[in-house]
Amino acid sequence: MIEVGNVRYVYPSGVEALRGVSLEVREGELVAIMGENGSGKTTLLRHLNGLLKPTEGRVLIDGQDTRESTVAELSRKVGIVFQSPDAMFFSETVYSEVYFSLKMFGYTDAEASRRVEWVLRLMDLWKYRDRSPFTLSGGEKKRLSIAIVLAWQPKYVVIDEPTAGQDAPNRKRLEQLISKLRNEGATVILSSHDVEFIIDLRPRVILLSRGRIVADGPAESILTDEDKLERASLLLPQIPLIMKKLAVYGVNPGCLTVDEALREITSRLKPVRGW
Amino acid sequence: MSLKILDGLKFKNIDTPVHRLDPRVKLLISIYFFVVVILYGSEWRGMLTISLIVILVEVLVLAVGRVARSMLNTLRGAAPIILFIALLQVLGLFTYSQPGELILYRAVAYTIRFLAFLASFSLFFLTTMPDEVGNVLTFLKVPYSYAFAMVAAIRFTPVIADEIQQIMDAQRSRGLEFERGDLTKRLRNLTYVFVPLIISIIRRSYEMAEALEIKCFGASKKRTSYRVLRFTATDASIAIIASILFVLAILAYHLQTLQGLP
Repeated sequence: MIEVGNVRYVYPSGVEALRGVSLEVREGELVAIMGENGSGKTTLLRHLNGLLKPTEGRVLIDGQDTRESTVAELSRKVGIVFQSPDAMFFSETVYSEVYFSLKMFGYTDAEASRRVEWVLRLMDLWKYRDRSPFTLSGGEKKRLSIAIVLAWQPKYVVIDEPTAGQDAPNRKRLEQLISKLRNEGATVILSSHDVEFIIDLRPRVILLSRGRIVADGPAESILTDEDKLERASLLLPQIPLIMKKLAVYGVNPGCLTVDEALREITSRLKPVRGW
Repeated sequence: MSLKILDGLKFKNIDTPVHRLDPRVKLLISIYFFVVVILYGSEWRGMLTISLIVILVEVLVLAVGRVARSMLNTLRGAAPIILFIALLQVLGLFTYSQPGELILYRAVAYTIRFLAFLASFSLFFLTTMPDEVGNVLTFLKVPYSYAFAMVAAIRFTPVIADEIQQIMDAQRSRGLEFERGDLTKRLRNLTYVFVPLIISIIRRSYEMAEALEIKCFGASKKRTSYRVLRFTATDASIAIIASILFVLAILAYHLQTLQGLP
């Protein structure tokens, strides 16, 4: 379990990025931390593997205080995928890029090789294994940065802004991957301001605004609540928006996906003769 | 590992009398400090006295310019070098048979001198906008493209410092140990920082070159500037006072007035 207890964080420049944040993430949960730019999402995520240590309060990973361990030690449990993948690449090939981390965590050669192949196939990068990471496209780089982290199967997978700069096919792929991770029992924490991407995953949603949590609950109740979203400078996603407008016709506004909305709407429509 | 040493090059846009001063005057004063500190380099001829006076004035100017904290961060970053200088002198205790008093004097004097030296440049860079540094250089007849390169170098130093931090964070997050373990291993791990750093710097320079071309860099021979340096009466009087003090310091040196003083 990840326990964030009343964390306040002030950057050396004096900016107070977190003003008393408390939350718990249990094993197997899928959590989306949402909020506008500068709300503290990334600052919060960087506390989870000890890159930042709280100015006040504490962060416990399975009961272990982040202040008492190094980032390298904590990362074995909490794998963070950063927003810009370029910062982590240095190897000649995609293969060795993934292999390197596994060696860092002490896997044997045989086990490391097995894992590299598994994760590169999972992320559809096996065909690029001999290419330089720097020559990949934006979407492929993103997938590689996720592959690097998944390779050592951290108990908690943290992805910062998974959809930033990703096209539609890649978004779809990411969505499938995250669902798959969840189905396999992994704990996944995402940060995003992309309500349309998050809504299909139906995660637990935590809204962050100016360093404070303004709402915490299931997607069904948060992503359909215009007032709550507005406090985090987010807009209602399209499906809840249209269902809200249709509520005067008696439809249930609590739908999240196209399929749900379609079912709800068509149940009230009469088929046209001749079709 | 901290990169605070580079704080001394970070300009903060605040409005203080020091920031308002003409950058040419500030540069002049920085050079005066620098020359005086260099000049008074002999022992028992006022080295410590002059360094102390210079550093006091510098601290005063930094305080008025509200950048004392950034300077302190730089000093904290430079602490290993400062310690090294002090230690080098103390080591003399074991090498030559010299009185301990002299060794102590040297350790203190050379350290203070180095601090005065460091602060003279920080004073200029901490309170002068990079653009103004460029203006000063063009005023000194440096071709604009070279002046621009200098300005870009100053402006990008903190950006690159941030970048190094980011890369280190990314590598630590994939199991690379920078915080614990033996020194040789930690140093070896730094190589994994340099590759992404060099690539990002090269990429950044290409991007910047493109941005410059888009904005027609160098299209006109004679270039005007948004910010024009204006020499006011205050600037003139401060420059004159500083120059008089500087000449006095030089005279005092040649007349050996401070002979025998620490």
